Amino acid sequence: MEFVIVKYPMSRTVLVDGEKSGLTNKILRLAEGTHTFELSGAKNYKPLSQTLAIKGTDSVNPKEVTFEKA
Amino acid sequence: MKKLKLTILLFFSIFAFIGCAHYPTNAKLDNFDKGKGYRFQNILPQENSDSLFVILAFSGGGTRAASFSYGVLEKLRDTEIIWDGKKKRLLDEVDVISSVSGGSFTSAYYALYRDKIFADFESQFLKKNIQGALAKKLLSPLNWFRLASSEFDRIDMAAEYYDEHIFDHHGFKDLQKRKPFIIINATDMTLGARFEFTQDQFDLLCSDLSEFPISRAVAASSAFPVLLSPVTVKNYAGSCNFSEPDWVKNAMNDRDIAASRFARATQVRSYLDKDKRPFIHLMDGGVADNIGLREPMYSMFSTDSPWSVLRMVNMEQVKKIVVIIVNAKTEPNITLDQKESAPDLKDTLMTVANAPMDNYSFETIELLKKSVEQWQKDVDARKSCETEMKKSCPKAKLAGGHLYEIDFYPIVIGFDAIQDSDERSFFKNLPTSFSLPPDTVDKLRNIAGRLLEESIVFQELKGHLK
Repeated sequence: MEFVIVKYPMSRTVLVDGEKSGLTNKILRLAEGTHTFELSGAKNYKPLSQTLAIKGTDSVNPKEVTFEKA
Repeated sequence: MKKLKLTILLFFSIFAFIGCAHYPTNAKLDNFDKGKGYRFQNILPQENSDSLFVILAFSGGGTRAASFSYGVLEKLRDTEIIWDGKKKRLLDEVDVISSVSGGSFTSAYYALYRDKIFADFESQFLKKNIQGALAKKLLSPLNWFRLASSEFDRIDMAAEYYDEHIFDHHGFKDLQKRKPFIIINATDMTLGARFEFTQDQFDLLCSDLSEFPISRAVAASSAFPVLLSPVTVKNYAGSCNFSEPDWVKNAMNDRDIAASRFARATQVRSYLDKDKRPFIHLMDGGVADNIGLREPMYSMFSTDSPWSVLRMVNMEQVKKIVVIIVNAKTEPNITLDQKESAPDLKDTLMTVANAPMDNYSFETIELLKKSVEQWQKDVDARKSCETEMKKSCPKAKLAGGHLYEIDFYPIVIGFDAIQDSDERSFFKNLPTSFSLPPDTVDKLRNIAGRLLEESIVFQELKGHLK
């Protein structure tokens, strides 16, 4: 299991590979592999998507994926 | 002259009859639409909450497996719990049943008929000599002409029988849009991989599952190699505006970092090429996964599954996950080792058929147990770090806050757990067939309920649901 935190100034739903898969600023669990991260709702953030290989994380050291307000 | 005309007419009729014999072809899907069809996301919201997520996995094993899994359903029906402040039967909290071969008769019957299963499944299936009925159909001279057709085989005849006598001509459109969502598993002969009867799978073929007979899905799931022929489905891929899930494209980059994810994506894409694969041949689901646990595991530990429980966990919609594996596995035939002479062809074929299946089932259960242990270790590691941080730096916080916790209850029901050696031996030496004596069926039902009740994890679960 891998661990990711999608960081954003407020709480929004995170899309992983196009599917609702958790909330921003909380630890998400994912299977290892390449995943695309986006935020659901209005496209008022940047970058619009990030695709990353997620591997080698753990519950104490999750991968951080950061989005900002556009 | 009259005799000649009659003879010609008779031959013409026979050949016309042979020509008419064709397996029922699966329908083409006009337009891909995730909002339609038999899939988990289209199950209507109801009293059965997602917060207590219950998965049943029913193994193969003919009537032995069907009776054993039926006994588990009876026990769940008789187990009262309190959840979300409401009293209910644990059976009514079952969200998903994944089944193989013999177990698919039970899951499909329950999904279609609900509590009516407790009134008539015994007479309609469990205590019927299904094997004898199939043999009678096979030996009927009328059917020989049909079987002479290259597009109609023994499995199609079996499916006809199940359609007529067990599933009453129902298709997947007749499955109520209520939980449990059932996954009937077969094996794709070319890939050696699981093939499931859900619209998510049929989307890849641009085929509409709604008219597909449930009897045919169950027949495919229980098409025991050699004894029964595979079920054929037609591939219409490329004709329904299907777009592959996003994870597939990403997984094609994962050959080195996530090989099984890459393999799965490759399998998905193989269906999308209808020129290479215009037909898919499906055999007993036990060849790929004889306990029906692989898809539930995929759902619990990956966000890729169309009904991913992991996504629901991340959304904090699930508080407890219960997985009950009902494994009707029998004993290896150790009498072979009592003779010096080499085992015969039948025993050799049985070993070839059963040993890989049993080994794989064992490894899958061990993998589930290890995954659940690791899940808890991950939570404990995070908590331990938070505690240390609080001691040395009280104002500091770990990014992401607490790791969301859920309770896992993996429960394995199998004959190995029977304490008494004679009783254990009795069950472990039951044959794999579609005909068992009625009192044996009752013994299987009873032992299923007893083994579930004796399970420490089940007792723990009941204690937490009071």
